[in-house]
Amino acid sequence: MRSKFCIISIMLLTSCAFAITGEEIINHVDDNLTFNSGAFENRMTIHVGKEVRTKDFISYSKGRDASFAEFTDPPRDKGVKYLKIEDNMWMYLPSVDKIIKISGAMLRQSMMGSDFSYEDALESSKLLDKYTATLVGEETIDKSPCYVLDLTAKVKDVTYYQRKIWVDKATFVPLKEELFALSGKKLKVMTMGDVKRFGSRYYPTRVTISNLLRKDSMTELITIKADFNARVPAKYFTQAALTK
Amino acid sequence: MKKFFLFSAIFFFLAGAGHSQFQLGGSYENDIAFVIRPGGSPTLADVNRLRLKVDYDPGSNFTVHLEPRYYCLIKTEDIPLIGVTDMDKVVWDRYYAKAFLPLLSVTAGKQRIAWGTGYIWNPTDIFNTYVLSFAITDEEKINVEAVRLEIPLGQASGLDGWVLTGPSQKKGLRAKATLGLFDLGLSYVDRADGTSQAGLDFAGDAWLFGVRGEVVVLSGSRQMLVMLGSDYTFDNGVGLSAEYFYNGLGQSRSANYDWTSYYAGAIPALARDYLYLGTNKILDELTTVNFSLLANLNDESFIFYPSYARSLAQNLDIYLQASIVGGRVGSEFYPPPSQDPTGFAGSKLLLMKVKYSF
Repeated sequence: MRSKFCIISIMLLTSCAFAITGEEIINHVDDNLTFNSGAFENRMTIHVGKEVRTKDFISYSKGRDASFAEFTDPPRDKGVKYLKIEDNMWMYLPSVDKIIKISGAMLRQSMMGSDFSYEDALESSKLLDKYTATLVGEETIDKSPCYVLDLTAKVKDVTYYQRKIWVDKATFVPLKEELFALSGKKLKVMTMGDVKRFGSRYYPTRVTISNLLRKDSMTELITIKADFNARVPAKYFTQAALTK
Repeated sequence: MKKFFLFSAIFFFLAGAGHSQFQLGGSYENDIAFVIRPGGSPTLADVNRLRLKVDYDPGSNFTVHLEPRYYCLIKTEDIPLIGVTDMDKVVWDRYYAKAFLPLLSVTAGKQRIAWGTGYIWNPTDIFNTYVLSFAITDEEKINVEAVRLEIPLGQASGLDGWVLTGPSQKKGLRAKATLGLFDLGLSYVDRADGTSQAGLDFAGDAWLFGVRGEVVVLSGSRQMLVMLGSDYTFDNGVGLSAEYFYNGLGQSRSANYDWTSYYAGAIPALARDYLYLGTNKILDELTTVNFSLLANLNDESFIFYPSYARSLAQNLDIYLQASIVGGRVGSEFYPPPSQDPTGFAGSKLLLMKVKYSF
């Protein structure tokens, strides 16, 4: 009797501890990180050993499928623009006044010399559309209690087959993410910080990413200004905007 | 020396200018070139390149772009360097005004009209059909004086038409659209010599490969120009790229090469079949290594072009490049003395470029 009581108690306690499911957590994450419309000013800082390069760009997003970015600094990159519409991505190079389609495995290449690949930038669908989420535990990151989730791809066309995500219990913002290849090799590590509240959403204004295939390299992306209610004209999400 | 001070004064004065409607930028590049003749001693050349880019945007619907350049060559003797022409004078490389109207945009002036999807060969682009893109900077491609109309139709479709305003009355029209993961273009060019060309170009995804192609049919000779290309990037970041070019205007035997038409620009290349292979590896975020091989499949001559690029500081880059040609004497890349007015056939080239952008 006593042992049955113990077992039932443990089961109840366990079910209370994981009262929220992995899918529900990821849904909250998606609510924070996806938006209908947004205008941003960003700074990308690339660290290679002790050397640092910074790049500034403005970006606009509309829904999940359309985004536009224009680099404004440094001078060598000024005027380079990117347009993403659904699964297509184009780059405009002012030096040749030409729009170039970024396709195939070129999407794996570094974007503007950073640890971000074009694929990272292209990724916009809800995590649950492509992954199954399993809550595997709880840990603390920078004094913030987090849910720890394993995400495994359920479709083939994903950049990373597995992801491990630490989600802040209080804000449902991921604070750390590890990205794995199909072979199980860890490819990249991301951290998110400086979480700010914009209306009802929490958004990390500082993201770092390290490509583990490279030595001593890390890219930091700071959102200097964010407007989630911006009315971005539809003309930005056209190829015509690239050459303007 | 006087020239150097004038050059420096313009550079530093303009580098500090700036205004919200009036934007000034550009680059200064110093190239040190060693040309090593077969069995000979190195010849040295030092090329200084100053390029300014001025944009005036008085409103959101109108912009004026001016792009003068000034090249200064300090040399031991006349040597041929790709993209080094019009020394010691200001050349207006691009100057145009562009108006953005509700349904279309109009660009008038000297401008770049870049069609096609190829890296080395762009048969649909009659101005830059064949460019050693791995060896020259983007800015060195040919610009033309034209009036151009671009009419967007939806997010990724549209019409693009131009008419040259110089002595030649060439004109062209291209319709482009995106279908699934493919960009498609159909083009027509009136070459103003009684002939015309119709073209098709595409770029897109095939599994994990990027694929691209261009096909042109020429009305006069009834010949075809075809470019097919593909690229792939491995998980470790090594990128591979390949392009094949079929030149219907070329010859499969080197003895039949039409050097006169080639030098006159009447044909894009001498031979019939070409292959480009390139590989690149980003060593870290600041360093890239490239190896390029351009081969004439008919006479088996080639250019091998390794290069190394490194960002030295925020606005300062260095490039180390080499050009090694191979093949028998009389082939395209090792031409016979009668077709080599420079006397530098078969030479090796070593280049060190330092570029400051402002």
